[in-house]
Amino acid sequence: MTELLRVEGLEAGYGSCKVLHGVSFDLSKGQNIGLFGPNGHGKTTLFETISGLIRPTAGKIVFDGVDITRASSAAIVEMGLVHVAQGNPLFAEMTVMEVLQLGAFSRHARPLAKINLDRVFSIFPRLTERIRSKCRTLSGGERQMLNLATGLMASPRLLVLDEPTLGLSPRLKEELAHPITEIDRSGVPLIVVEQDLGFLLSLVQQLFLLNHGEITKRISKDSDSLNHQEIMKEYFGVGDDDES
Amino acid sequence: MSLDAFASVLLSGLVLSSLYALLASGLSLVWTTLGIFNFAHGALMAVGAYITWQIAQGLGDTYWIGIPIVLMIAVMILLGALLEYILIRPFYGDKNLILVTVMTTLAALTFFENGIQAVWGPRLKQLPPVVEGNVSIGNLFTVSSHEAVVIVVSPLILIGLYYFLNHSVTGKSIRAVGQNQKAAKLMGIHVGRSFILTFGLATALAGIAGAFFGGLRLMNPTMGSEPLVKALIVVIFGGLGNIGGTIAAAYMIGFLEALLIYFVGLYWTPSILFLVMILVLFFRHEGLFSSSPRTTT
Repeated sequence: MTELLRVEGLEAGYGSCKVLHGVSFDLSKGQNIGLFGPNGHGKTTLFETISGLIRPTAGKIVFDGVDITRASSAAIVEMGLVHVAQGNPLFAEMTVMEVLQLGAFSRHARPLAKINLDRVFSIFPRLTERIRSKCRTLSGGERQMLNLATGLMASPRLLVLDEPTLGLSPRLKEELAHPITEIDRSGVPLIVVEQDLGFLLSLVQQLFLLNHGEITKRISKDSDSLNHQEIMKEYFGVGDDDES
Repeated sequence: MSLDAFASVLLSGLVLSSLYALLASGLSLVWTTLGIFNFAHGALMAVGAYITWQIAQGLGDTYWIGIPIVLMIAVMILLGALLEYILIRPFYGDKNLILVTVMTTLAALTFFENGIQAVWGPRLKQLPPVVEGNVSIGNLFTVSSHEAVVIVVSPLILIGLYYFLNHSVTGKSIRAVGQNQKAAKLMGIHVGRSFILTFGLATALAGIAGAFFGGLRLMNPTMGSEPLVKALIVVIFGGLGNIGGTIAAAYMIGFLEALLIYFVGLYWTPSILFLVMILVLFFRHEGLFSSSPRTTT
């Protein structure tokens, strides 16, 4: 088994509004993949379906050989598939430390909480200064760090990152890019959505373009000669220098 | 105000506060976690008192009343879990959840009040006190031992609840579900289980209030309706979604009520309590102790 995640013909949406029209892709073990595409074309919906927040109407999701299409979000986290949601405000009235402890809520992560906590603090030293602060007092950058850190507390076997640097200043993006690279180096496979294509390409081996709720293009970094400037030109109509 | 009168106001204030705190903390817990208001909460207090009475009858006089109370707590936890399953769970995800559950919990209120009447009849009943006799402190206070138990045990239960919510993993997960359901799910927290547990706990707290109340005054099928209104004032006064604030508010309202009864009499007391609540809301929309209003996302 070399496949960690396989998504087949996934269809999902909100009520009568269908967002995903048959999304298929797969992720081999030891690989990271990136998703990109215009806003409002289903990236977040896709992630929420994978992590069990939304029930798909058709299709199949297989994680490490187990069909998780109809599994509960709790069961999915228990298996080690952890989704760090976009702009998650977490728990306004809880302290950073409490949130981190809750990050290790799943049964498989609980015994590892101590080890993971040390690891999280070494990756995000800034959080150590704020362990007693409530979430609502955190800055956007700190909250995003806490989101990533909470994801790590769950001992993920696959980490899904939905726009981890969304809405942050270039300096803060820089500050977050480093820990994300470090998470990647520690051997946790990633699925990343990221607007900063340069950063995305530095992380992943394959890119999927999600357009109108379908995967319309698959780009392997090593096989295709496309560099990120060409991708930017082709799909966003802009050059690297005015990415935003 | 003579010393005697002061002592009696203090005493009844403490007893009232304890009962309100037990009742209001459950109401507040359910509101914070599930985002709904449970109109059957007062009736559940009556159910707890009658179940205690029934178990005590079944066991006979030789057993101390504490044993029926403990058994009643177990029954109430199960009943609460069942109620969550029947009254609230079917409507999750419904955008009119709050309104629908107003109806289902009101239905449960009528069901319980009439059910009690049907099963146990309209005749007034009373539970034996938890401890017989009186306690005197110097020459100032003489309290019945039952009242002393209510005054001492209620805060202990509430401290236990506070500790559970803030220091145990399960308690923290309940708070997390109340603050951000989606984020809680993404951490692997079983939201449905948290709901059931919360409702069971709140129901048990109402039952304890009922058993204490049944040893103080006479029980009747609608004994919970007035305390529910007071608990509502307490919860709003203290700030929705804040257990610590609810407990503090319960003691303030309890004492205020005792003072008002002494100075203005029973007749005007409820109106003045509501007036105080309205004034507080006028100046602090989110209640006295809440730092942020609950958002129902």
